[in-house]
Amino acid sequence: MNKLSWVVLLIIFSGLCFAQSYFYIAGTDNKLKPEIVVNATPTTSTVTWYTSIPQVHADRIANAFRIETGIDVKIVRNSTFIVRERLMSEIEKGKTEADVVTIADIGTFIELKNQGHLMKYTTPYYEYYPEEYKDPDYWAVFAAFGMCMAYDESRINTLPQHWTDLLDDRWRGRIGLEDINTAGSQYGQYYILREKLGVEFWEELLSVQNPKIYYRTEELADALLEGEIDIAGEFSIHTVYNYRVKKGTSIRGIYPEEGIPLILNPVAIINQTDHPEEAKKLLDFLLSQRGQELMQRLNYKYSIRGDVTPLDGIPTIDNLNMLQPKNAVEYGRKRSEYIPEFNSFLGGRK
Amino acid sequence: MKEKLKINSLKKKTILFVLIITALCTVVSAFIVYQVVEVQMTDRYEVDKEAAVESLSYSLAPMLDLYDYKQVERAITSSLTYEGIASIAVFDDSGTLIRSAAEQNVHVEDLDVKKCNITSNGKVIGSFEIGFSKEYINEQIRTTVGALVFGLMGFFVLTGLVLYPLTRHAVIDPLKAFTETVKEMDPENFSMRMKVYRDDEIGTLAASFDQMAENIEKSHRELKEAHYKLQEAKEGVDKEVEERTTELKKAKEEAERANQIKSIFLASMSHELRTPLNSIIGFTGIILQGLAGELNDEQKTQLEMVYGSSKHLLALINDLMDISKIESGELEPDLEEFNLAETGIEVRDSLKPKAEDKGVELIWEMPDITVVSDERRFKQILVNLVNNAIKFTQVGEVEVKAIEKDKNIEVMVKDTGVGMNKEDIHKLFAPFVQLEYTVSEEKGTGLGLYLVRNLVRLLNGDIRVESEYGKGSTFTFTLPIKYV
Repeated sequence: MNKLSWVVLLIIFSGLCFAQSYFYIAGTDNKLKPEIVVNATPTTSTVTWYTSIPQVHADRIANAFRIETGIDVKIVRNSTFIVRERLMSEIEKGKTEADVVTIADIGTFIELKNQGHLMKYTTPYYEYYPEEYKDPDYWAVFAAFGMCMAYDESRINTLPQHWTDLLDDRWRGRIGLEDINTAGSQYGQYYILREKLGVEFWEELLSVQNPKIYYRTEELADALLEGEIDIAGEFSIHTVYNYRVKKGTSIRGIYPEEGIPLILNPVAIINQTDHPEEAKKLLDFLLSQRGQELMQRLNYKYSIRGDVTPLDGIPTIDNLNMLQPKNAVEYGRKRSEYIPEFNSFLGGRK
Repeated sequence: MKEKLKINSLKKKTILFVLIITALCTVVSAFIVYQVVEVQMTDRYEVDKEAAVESLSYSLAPMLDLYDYKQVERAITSSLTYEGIASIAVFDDSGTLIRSAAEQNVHVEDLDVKKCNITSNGKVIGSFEIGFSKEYINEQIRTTVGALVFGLMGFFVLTGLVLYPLTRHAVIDPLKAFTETVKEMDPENFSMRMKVYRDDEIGTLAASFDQMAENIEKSHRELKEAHYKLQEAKEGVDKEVEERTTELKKAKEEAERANQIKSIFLASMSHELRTPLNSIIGFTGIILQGLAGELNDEQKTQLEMVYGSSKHLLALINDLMDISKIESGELEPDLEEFNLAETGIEVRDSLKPKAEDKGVELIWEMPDITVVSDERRFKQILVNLVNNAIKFTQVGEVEVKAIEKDKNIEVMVKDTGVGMNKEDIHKLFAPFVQLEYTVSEEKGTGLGLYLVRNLVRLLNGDIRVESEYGKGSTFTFTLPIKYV
């Protein structure tokens, strides 16, 4: 073998060494991890929960329940009136999946009870709830929240102090509201303030001030922060708390002295339930001190239970002039009348 | 093939050296790399594990606090994407499993499981178990070491490939040129030059070599010239030596011829002289005995002088005859067996009267052995030596002693006579030399010891003398018991 052959051979050898070195490194990088097998808490049975609270909160509450009881929770979540529509439709058809229901419309519960669609169950936790927040043996308020106004502190200096200040020309086209067709809170506000301020208030606000309608609370908050609107005419106190304290934004709440509509979100068991025992356990859990504390910590809404300490940094029910429907039955009955009215004031738009 | 494999050139040695260095560097590097990597990676893995545990504990706390199990699931499955983590299980404060995630087919015995509590606001809200793969770190070490070792090996081979041509250019090629130049040189041609022009040691060596070659060439030229001159001178000397040798040879031949003629002459003359001398001695003796009439005192004295001179002359002639025969090579030993003691007694008896006349004691000791030699010449030698001893001894004794020694007979003649100086001993055996130590009126011929030495040599023997002036002399001669 001549000299050149040796040199070529050694260069090839050297190259092979480098290649081997590279393959060692590349082999590590390209190595596929084995498939991952995930196991969750083992469960024995399932209960279906129709709810309007945010999915993320519902999931976590269900997790806590699952850990405590070993019962899996199937969550059906949507806006209050969409859940209501589905539930009513299923009941009308003779069969619903729902075992337990929590939506922000007390009228629905009165209606369901009156129609005999709620299961009678006396939870041991009823005693912790005042009379006005429960219907003994059928339902109690799982969560309550007040509806205030909100604004972006970094942009707005002069604020409306009263609901009627929203009728000022200054706010024309700069007010945001939620869609009454889906949001139970928007209906509750409309109903309570209509009782308080009269239909003219709403007529002028909706038809003259030309408010913008949003389909989710988060969209309304984004509109505020982005300057699309100056005032959110319908904004829950717990959402203000979330955006101010938890998210650290410049959204602040306005709490008119004449009153803050208090929206109630009861919980009840549907009579057609296939899992009555699991449903009772879920209802117990939701109304228990632990369930209430969890709800309050996750969702920042008010617990009606006296033994649940309110969150720091959020106005309490006692400190605000909370307004409730004078007649809960009327509240439910007027829904079919007031929602079209709201829409008609808006000029037929939804 | 075997010749090819021999490491007999600087080039091969350099290649071998580079190969050995490369291999050595690779082995040593591999060893060091393994040691360092193993320690560092193991330590780092431990730190990583601690960090993973702490990080997971920190991130899981709010999730557990808010029952965000989807996030828990996301957190633990994403943690599993990290190499080394093979399983994670999260529990609530009562120990109920919330979520667990693990790589498929993972076995607990292959895992290093660490347990950790999850706390929120100082309260234990849950715990988790995290399983680290034991094989992972070994795999990592193997991979890293493998990558480094192969990388280093490649690097060293490349370095060797670069170093070899540099070394060849710097050292081997000049030395090769140097070697070829030296090879081309022969005693008749020192004109080759290195022609390497560099500033380093090789250049210095080449310049020194060129200078040396030039000096050698010059010296060689001068040496050659000197050699030619020397050759010429030698031829002249040889010629002269040859001439002288021829002359000397001729002179030697002439001298030998002359000596031979001299010996023949002496033998003839001695014979011719001895016959009348014997007559003179015989008749003078008859007259002295008074057989031819009475002699007065004066006549008697005169005749006694004639008688003595004649006898002396006869002895001189006899000695001369013997010497001439020996020198001319005519004298041959007459070998016969004889008894040493008996022969010695004969000699003793013949000389005893003379010794007694002088009052010298004659001590005689000879072994009773048979000797094969020339008895007559033996006697002649012994008589000469003992006679001389008696002659040069005024008072005291003459001791004659013979001993058998090896295959020889050693005869010692020792006297207590006048002796001689050491510087005169070497003159003792020269012909016609008479030293000035005479204590007797009896005159010698000056040939006695010269003859004795030649006779001893004729009988394949040897003779030596020890003497001290005033204390006496010792003559010792040695003869073979059986003449060869």
